[in-house]
Amino acid sequence: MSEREVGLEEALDDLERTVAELEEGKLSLEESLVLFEKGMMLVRLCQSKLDRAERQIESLTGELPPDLSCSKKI
Amino acid sequence: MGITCRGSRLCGPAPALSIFISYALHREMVKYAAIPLDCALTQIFTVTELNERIRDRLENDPRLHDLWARGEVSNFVYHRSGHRYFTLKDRDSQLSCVLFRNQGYSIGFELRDGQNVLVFGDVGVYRPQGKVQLVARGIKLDEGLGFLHSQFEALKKKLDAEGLFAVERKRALPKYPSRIGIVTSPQGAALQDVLHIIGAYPVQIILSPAQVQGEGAEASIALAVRALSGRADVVIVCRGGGSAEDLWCFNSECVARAIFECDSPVISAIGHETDVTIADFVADVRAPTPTAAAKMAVPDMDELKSWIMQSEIRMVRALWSGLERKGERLEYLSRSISARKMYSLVAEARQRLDFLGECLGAAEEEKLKGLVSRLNLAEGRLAAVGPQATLSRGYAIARSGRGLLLRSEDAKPGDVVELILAKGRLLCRVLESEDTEEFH
Repeated sequence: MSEREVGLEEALDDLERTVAELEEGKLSLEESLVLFEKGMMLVRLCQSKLDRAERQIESLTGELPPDLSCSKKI
Repeated sequence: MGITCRGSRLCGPAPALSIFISYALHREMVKYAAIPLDCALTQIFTVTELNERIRDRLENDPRLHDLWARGEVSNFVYHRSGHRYFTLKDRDSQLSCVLFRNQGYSIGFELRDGQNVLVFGDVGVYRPQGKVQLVARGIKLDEGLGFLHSQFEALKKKLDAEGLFAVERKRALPKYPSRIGIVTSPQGAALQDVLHIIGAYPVQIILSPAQVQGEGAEASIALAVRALSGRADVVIVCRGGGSAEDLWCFNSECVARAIFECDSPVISAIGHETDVTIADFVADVRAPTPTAAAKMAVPDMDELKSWIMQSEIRMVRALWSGLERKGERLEYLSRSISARKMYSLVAEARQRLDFLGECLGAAEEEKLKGLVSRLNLAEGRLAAVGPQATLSRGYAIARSGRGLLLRSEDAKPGDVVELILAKGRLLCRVLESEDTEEFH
């Protein structure tokens, strides 16, 4: 599972499920370790997505407010 | 400067000054307490002279000529002389109006109380009564808002009947959108407000520029909404505050249908909180302002970051309570999981907790400290029950394809069993199986 393939939404949803499943406590220790590891990976993934955030604005007509530098027509 | 005036009669056919004027003068005199006592030294007006002076002043002011005034007709009187008298009023004020007979032919409709009209004319003073009035030269029905309002009600009724406002079709907003479409003017303050709130949240913003007032605005907005089809997870249609006329394009049928047919949920934020348009009724969610719309569209970054931290803490806590459960300690032994992996995970969790402690407030930190010490305890216990410590004292784990060997009947002579030692493992064949007392 590479970072590029997973969106923030998916990662956050996955993290939420992982935490809930761990807290339910029905898993074997081994299973919960696997899940814990996955959860920590998701935490790092989400954090990096949030920290790396850069404003990305596109305009359907190419028209943008003058103070927005990163313009891109699509 | 003061004005003194003398009148033999203050009412009747002779010119009179209204109470208002004398009251105002009285206040002036109180304010400028120095009233010249010697009347002979100052000019004394007759009421007529004073009214004439007021009239001259008003009628020579070009700003009070050739003007349009908007208001509601009341106290309408069609005098037998052929002149029409009425009062033009709005919520807070009123003004006398007269339409003289010779002007009255051209208006083309019957004046009635309660009509909203636009009056064209000049401000004048009716000298005999000292009355300021608007002398009308033309009057037309104010179709502006009254007419628009009836249009609004008719469209609202029609679209409601078609189910465009149905609560059942309102869609939930995505919790974490990755693409936000914004329909607004690129020059408007509304866009700036929305962008400010979205801030650093990692989302792709797709601006669909629209003309949000004036001729052609309706079609422009509808087109901009449709252009976002398939490109956004949530759409914000917004515009800053303006007059009712400015916002009117959001009350059009084509905008309503474009919003209705939009394939992603739409948040409307048009004008100020008190402005409600047809677009607001059709939208999945109505926000009072563009700022509020942006807050609905994206989660709060700080809350989100803190939620992620809390998730880490919850996972460590859950893992720890799992370690504590005795039943699972046995299960741990029964499966050959890597002890090293286990320790490194626990150590990592402890480090993360230390780090999180620095990030969170003092109260949270206390809770975390407790958690860290419990985790240390769990780690110690883990070491005690873990196979490594036991194996290094000369014990071995015996197991077959069916699982752990705990009793002699778990393996029959001839079976192949596995012995896990402190270092390495042995595959052995069972020669004999005996029921004996437990090993001491």
